Order: sequence, then C-alpha cells, then structure tokens
Amino acid sequence: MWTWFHKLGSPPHFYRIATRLTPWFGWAALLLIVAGVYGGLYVAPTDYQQLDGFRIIYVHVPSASLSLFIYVNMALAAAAGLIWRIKLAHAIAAACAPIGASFTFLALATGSIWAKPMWGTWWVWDARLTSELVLLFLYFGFMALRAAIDDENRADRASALLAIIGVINVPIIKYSVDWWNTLHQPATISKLGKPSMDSDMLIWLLIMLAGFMCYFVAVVLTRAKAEVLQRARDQKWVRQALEGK
Amino acid sequence: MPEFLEFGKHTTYVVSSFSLTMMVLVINVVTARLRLAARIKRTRQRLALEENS
Repeated sequence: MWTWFHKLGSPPHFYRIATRLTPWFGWAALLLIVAGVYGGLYVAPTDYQQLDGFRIIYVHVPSASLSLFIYVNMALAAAAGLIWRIKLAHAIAAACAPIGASFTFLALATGSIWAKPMWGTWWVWDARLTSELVLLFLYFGFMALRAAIDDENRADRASALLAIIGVINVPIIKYSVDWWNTLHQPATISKLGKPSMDSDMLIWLLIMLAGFMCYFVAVVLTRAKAEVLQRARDQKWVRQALEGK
Repeated sequence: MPEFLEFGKHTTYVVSSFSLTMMVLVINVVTARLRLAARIKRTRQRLALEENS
C-alpha cells in the first residue's frame, strides 16, 4: 500500500498514469453528461410544484456537490504537501483550484437563475448562499495567493495553509440548511436511504453527478500534468516523457 | 425557440442554466488543454536549446 502510495507520489509515474487515464475519464464524462442532460431535460417527469423549472437541479446540484468535493480534495492534497513535503500534492492542489472555482461559480449562477422563478428574487443573503459565496472567495484567495508569491515553495506553503483553514467552511455550507432557518431547501441526495426525489428523477441526477466527477478527474489530471512539467523541468524523466509522447 | 428547447414558462431559466453550465465545462477543458500544450511546447524548446548548447 505504502509502496504504491510512494510510487504514485513520484512525478514521472504520475505523469505516465495521468496520460493513460485522462482519455478514459474524458470519454466517460462526455457520455455520462450527454445522457444526463438528455434524461434531465426530456426523460425525467415534470415536477408537480415547480413544473419544468425543477430541471435546473440537473446542473445546479452536481455543480454545488463538486464545488465542495473539489475543495476537500484540494485541502487534503495541500495538507499532504505540507506535512510530507510531496511536491506533486501541491501541484494537484494548484490544479484543483480553478476547476473548483468554476463549479462554485456555476452553483451560484444556476442557483440564482433557479431562485428567480421559485423565490421571486435572484439572490438572498441566506446561510447556504452566503457560505457558498465565501467558498468562491476562498478559491479566488488560494489562486491569488499562489500568483502573488514568486517563490514556488513559499507559494505552496502559504496557499496550503489557506486551503486547510478554509475547510471549516465546508461543513458550514453542508449543514447550513439544518443549522439555520434558510430559504434554501434541505439536501436532496445525501440521504440515499430515503431520497427526497422520485427515482425517475433521481437516476438522471446521479448520472449527471457521475459525469461531473469523471469530468473533474479528466481536467484535474490535465492541469496537474502541466503543473508537474513546470515544477520538474530540469529532470531527465521530462525529456523521456516528452519524447515518448 | 425550437420546440425541443421549450420548457413552458420556465424555458428561459432552464435553457440559460444548461447553456451556461455547458459553456463553463467547455472553457475549462479548452484552457486546461491549451495550458498543457503550451507547457509541453516551452519544455521542448528549452530541451532543444540545452541540447544545442
């Protein structure tokens, strides 16, 4: 187990594995997202209360879930980099940030579009919405901090600390709908034993979520490869990896 | 609006949400691939320079 872990932590090995895995995750993401969009728009039955407006859930919920999932992954990678001084972990954390920020933006934007016909307003300073907005600022802060520090090692350490501290916002976002009296509805798919959606609707949401997960893996591997190349530019394996490409 | 993009009184909201999402997903893929391609190109140029010197 530890040998495998150490091997994966080696940039040349990671680069090879990432090159092999990216197309698989990319194609899986494409197929799942196409199926999810089709099912969500045309196969899932219309909601009796929200009518066709509920279909926004098929892009809003996966985006919101990914925004949290990516942040936790980014913080874990940053912590691994900080504790065990694994440069690859810092590269992965750096690769996660822009993707996580884009999913957070999507969660906020699609949520806002959904809120207009349902709540009658684009935005309310509700606990869920506000904490999700804080998440977007955390992503921006992480990227801005990295960009502001020229020394790569210092940038890695400083941004890792910010990522780890920011994790406190994740349970706040997740449980905000339970802890406070919010306009936002409670969790839809976290309680799989007793989901609050009909299975004809839920299946397409799960497909979309799986598609977004595969998409994230494909994009983060591509971004991480670029980060690894930048960091390991003076090493022999880079020449071999590029020649073998 | 084509018939397959009609979602009752919520058409604008549904279509704009899905379009925005797909646009962001595509932009993410394109920027990631361009970034990697640029990094590979720069690394190759540097390696060629090192070889020649």
